[in-house]
Amino acid sequence: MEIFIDTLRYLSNYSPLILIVILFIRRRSHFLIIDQIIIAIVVLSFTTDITLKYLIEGRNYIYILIYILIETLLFLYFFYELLKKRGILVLIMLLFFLITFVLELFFKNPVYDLFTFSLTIRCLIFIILSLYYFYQIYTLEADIFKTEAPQFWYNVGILIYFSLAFFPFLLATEILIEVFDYTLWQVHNIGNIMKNLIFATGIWMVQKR
Amino acid sequence: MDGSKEIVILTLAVGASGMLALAVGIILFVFFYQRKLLKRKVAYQEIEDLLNQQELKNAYALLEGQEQERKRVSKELHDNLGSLLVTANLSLDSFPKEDLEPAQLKRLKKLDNLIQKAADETRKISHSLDSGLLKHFGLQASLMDLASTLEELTNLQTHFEIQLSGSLSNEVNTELYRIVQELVNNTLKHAQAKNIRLEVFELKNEYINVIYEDDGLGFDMQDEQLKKGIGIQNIENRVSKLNGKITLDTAPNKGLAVIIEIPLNE
Repeated sequence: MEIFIDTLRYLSNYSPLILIVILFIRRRSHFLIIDQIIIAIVVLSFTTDITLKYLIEGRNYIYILIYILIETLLFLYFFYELLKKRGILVLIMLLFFLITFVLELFFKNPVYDLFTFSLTIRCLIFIILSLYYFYQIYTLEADIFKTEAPQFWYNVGILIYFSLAFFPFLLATEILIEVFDYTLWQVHNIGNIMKNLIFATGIWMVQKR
Repeated sequence: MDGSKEIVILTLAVGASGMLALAVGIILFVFFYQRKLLKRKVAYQEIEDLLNQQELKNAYALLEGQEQERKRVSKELHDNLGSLLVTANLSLDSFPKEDLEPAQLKRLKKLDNLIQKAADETRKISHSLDSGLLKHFGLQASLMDLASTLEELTNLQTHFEIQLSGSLSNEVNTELYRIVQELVNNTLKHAQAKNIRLEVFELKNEYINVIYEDDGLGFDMQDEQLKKGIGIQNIENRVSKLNGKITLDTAPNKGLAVIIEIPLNE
């Protein structure tokens, strides 16, 4: 079981490398702002994971919170670019997330407590935005594989990751503090690996534009 | 603690797998819906291509019909009207003139001239319809003949430069001649131009380039009705029949420039 957990942890930490390698191979591709945001998210995730693993000792919740805050803003910026005509929806979601985050700051200590409420709300926000994008391409009958194939795959990655991460974040206090069974946290890591692989697929598609 | 652990595991297992199944279901639905959409679009495109092909076929058939009709009218003019006029001319020539008064003689001479002129005109019309000159002397001679006719009968100044090898197929010869004829007709009818410039060049036995320009009134390229009315559609069909490309450059009061490129090896 230990080997299984370690393998998943390593895969989760180092899966962004696939995208970085693809990025190196396809460095002459014409990356749009949306592609650049996804690249920034993956690079940020990779550097944070490595930094937390090797450089920060002890409880690292506060760093995770800062990382999550930046990542959330990047994802919201991604959806703002993706759903340009419905940018207001993204701004409402941003406001909603900030309110839950600030509320949680009042009631919890960022050094010792997990911000499970904000994290769960964050998952819900991105599931809603992702579903909204799919609904939009369904109603518009847009031919996305011709012009927006990378965006489709980024959105698939986001929906899969946040759907899988929803329950681990909802039960984060139980999993990581009360029960403390790191095996259960691997559900989140599986989602993270899938997300990075699907993002890499999207970046690979950029060349085909 | 064991009980709560079991609840956590159960909630996580059911919740996460449920969410994943839902997400995958939605993604698959969108994915296959998109594929279906793509297939439908390809099918529509194919139908549209077929319709375009059919439309082109109809246009070619129309052109072919026009050509046949021109030949028939030309033959009728040459064989019937032309012969009648020649006979009338001969009869008039053989009419005894000794007993006629000078005024009558003058009228007879005038009548003779008129019949001669009518016979010449009939021959010209017959030739222009059937392009007999084209058949016997090729495109270059026919176009130069067209230029001299224009100089003779109109106030237009023509600047024709033709460089052809003379080995063009009958189809290319006829279509190109008709295209130039149609362009000249447009200039005469609508443009009020003073000059026509025509360049026809054969490039390495691979292409024929036709550049036609007049300094007339031009027209609005956006006006589809006008384009149809002045036979641009007809010219485009003839160019398309030869697998060529046509580019028009015109605007009101800016004259007209037409560039046509015809591939020879297709």
